[in-house]
Amino acid sequence: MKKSYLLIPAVIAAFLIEVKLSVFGIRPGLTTLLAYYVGLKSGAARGTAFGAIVGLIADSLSGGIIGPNVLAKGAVGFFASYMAGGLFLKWTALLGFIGVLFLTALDGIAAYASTAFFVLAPTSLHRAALIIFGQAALNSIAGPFIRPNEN
Amino acid sequence: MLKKRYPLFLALLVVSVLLMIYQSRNGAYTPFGFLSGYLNSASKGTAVAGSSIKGTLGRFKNKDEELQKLRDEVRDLRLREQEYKEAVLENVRLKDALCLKERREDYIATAKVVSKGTDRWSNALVIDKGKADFVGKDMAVITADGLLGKVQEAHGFSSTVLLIDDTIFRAAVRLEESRAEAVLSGAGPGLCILKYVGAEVEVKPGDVVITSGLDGLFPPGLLAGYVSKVVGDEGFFHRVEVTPFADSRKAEEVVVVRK
Repeated sequence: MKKSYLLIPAVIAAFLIEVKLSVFGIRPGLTTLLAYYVGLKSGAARGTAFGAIVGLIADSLSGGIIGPNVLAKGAVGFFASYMAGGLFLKWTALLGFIGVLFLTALDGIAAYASTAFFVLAPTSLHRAALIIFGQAALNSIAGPFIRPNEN
Repeated sequence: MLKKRYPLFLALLVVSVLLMIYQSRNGAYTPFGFLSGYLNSASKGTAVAGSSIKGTLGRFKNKDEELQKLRDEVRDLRLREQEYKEAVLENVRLKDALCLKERREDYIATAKVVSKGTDRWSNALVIDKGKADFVGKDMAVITADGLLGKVQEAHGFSSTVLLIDDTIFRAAVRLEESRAEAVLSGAGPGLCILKYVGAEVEVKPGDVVITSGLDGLFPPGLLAGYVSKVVGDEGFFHRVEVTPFADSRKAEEVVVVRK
């Protein structure tokens, strides 16, 4: 990725903007989208590493244990690389939509499950489901616009 | 290709699981906890910058000819009127906060709400006062309407406030009229549940819930909410829904009080 230095301000901006936006009390997962973007554009290794770093920052900001977001966002970066080819079919806008929907939900489920398993459930299951799938639905709007490199 | 990728994912899985196992036994490891303070300060900065950019753009837009100048003047006057109205409203809110400050001996600081909390699971707010203003963990945060939450984490110049309606929020309370003790628990946006109210206690919608002070966290007598619904009985206890008096969506200035 040629413009990787732009990712630093993008990460800072994502964390700053994420807390200001909300639709019916649900926030979009901009940092998850960034991990997805890097995984899709730059492949599994960079996507996983970038996702894990973003997750490390997210965990540090949350004040809880370090790990749930490292795992969740790292997984998003990793699996996003498959969207560009490999296991999946050729990328289409619909596949982009479904991919972001699925991976954002995976991010939420992994983060919630690991926090609940290793510490205690951060919120009720009902509310967690609302947050996870609400965020997935919001993020999925961006799916068709984040395209893999053409080669 | 697949063989190359899987060890990477496995490594991520193993490292993060080991990290979590270690912390579940030894407590949260927060080497980058300071980032929260920086983000909150940056959030405060962007809020100030955003409003000044908005103001500047508002003032310098559409100024071509004389007609435009007149329009600008009218708009400026409108903007000033809007600013004046804002100032009057802020004055009212600050007066409320000042009243709280004068009424309460346990006053610590008056703070402005900067943004929402960063943790996606918790219903939290960030305020612009922290350890530098003697704000500490678990201190009660109130508005003129009543209890808003408690300080979850205090940084140098900002703090995170866990709101009363968050699902992990708990407070020892009592019903003002019957004096029956109970535990108030957050249940999602704008809703709390009153737990452990004995079935023999008479509870009716409209009953006021106040803090009892028995948890050692909140000062006694803070207005917490009112009974909005008595859903039914759960064995020996009533199931009671409570609406908090303080509306977190409208909170702009808050007061921090000590235990």
